[in-house]
Amino acid sequence: MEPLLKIKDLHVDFLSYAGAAHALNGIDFELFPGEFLGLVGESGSGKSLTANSVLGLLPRKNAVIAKGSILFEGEELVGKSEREYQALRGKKISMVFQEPMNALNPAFKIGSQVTEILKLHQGVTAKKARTEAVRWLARVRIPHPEEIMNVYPFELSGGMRQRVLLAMALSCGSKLLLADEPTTALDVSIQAQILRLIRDTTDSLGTSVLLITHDLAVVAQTCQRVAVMYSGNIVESGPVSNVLRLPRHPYTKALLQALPHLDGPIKALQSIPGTVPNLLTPPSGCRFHPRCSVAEKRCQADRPKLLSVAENHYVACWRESHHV
Amino acid sequence: MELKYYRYFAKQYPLTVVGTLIILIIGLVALVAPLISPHDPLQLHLADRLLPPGHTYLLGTDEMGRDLFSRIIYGARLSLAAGVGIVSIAGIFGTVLGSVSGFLGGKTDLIIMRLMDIMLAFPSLVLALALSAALGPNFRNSILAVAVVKIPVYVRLVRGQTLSVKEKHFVKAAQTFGASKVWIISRHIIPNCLAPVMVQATLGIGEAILIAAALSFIGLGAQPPAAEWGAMVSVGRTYLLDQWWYATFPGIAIFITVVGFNLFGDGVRDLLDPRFRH
Repeated sequence: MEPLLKIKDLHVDFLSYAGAAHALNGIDFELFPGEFLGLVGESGSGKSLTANSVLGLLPRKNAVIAKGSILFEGEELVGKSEREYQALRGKKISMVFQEPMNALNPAFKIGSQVTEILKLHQGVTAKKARTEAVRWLARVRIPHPEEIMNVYPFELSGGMRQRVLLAMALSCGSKLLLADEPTTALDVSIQAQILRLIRDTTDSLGTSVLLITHDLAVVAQTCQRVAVMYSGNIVESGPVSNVLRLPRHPYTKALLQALPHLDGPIKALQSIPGTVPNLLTPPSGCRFHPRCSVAEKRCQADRPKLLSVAENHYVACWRESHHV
Repeated sequence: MELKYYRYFAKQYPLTVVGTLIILIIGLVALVAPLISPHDPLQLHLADRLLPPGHTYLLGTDEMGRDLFSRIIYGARLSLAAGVGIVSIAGIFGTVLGSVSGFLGGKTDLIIMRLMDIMLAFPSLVLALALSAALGPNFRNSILAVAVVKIPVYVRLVRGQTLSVKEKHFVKAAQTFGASKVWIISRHIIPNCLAPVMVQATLGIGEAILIAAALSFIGLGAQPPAAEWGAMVSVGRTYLLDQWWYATFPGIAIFITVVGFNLFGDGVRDLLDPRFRH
């Protein structure tokens, strides 16, 4: 099957007076139609930056795609003009955010914001857009969608706003949904609801999802495949069951050890020693080696490639036998 | 419920209510001027020149025998038009320029803001004077001149607002939905910058009326025989020692109107400022 999204050797740099910070340092992954891929990693590992690069919305003017390619439906996105990106955003690729509280314009009613995007991308009449909007609000399980159309954002809870935003993101038939920590700002019971909603609606539409999160439990519940990021690199990727049950990379192992377990004896949680490396002066070789408990000489000298260790399971570590 | 709120507001801000009433009365007077003025404001009564306030001529007459009371009533039209016209023009252009400048940033921002800095380097009356003289002295041009001079105030205000609004998540969300820059500025930036613009505009009406009157006083605004308060004060000044009423009553009219708008503007600011909301 042809991948919907194929990112190859993507480098994103932040240019500063102190030099270039390589925030994304050669990312490779593929996302297939209808697939639900989780992208996990700690803060600053480049998860959100990856999603923003796909949409052509790099956060600052000093950020540049230095190298690599982003293929969407076989079409190269890197180097597209702003106008070409605008036709793509919201129509083929859309995004939902971490902060549903601020992601709706406080000055307009929900109805006008949902119909706005339908009018923009589908060129339908106001009346048609309205019935369509109500249908979408119902689809994301908003009770009394007709009434919600006439309500201002401040009158809705965070969970409801995230539903509205999800309806807006999917309403024009997006093939790819980038979900940037969509549940982080919500409380736990709503989190589960929203995640299930995202999974169910995208399942029925055949939309692929790139779910960005730092919550491994969320990944375990919702994703089919997961990619683990560390300091601008993907260190391990594969089917969720493999990666979470039989992690191969020391960083993934350490992340899983940092989680509390319900069963078994109560132990102190393990933390990973050290801190996230400074991107201006990253460690040589494998970027994880200063914090790695099993690092060798070779880890300091050369960067390991992401290679297959089992079916669909890829790891970038010198300790893996394949790298010998 | 609604009524209770208004009563509470009147108790809390009595001066705002006074200001609002003044504006309403002046607005009404301007609206029905032909119905309530006892004489034609331009009609000459050469036999009744410079009469003191009395029965026939409530506030006296001017050097051509025109009824001052009627002239002041008609003058309300010109002054209100000047005040509202100036802040509307300045407000609209200032908002557009300010939001574009703040949102686009870079060179556009630099050019617009340095132009505004140049304009702000002149005292506003002096610049208005020069512009109005260059455009040709009449009432419409004097309004345009003052409006242009007032634009930088709104540009700076809106630019500052834009800088904070454009970092809000809904602006980024709009980008991910494929909105263009024009759309984002008109639909997301400007509506969320409007509250302080409204405050600035209502507070600015009084000052705008004053500057327009000052231009007329100098002779660069409304031309005789138009019934404009500033122009009336200007001519009346020569007769001030012997016919005190001629310059005094138009002056009082200006004073009351400006006070009314200032009190109203203060009230609007309190109302839109969340720190004052109860």
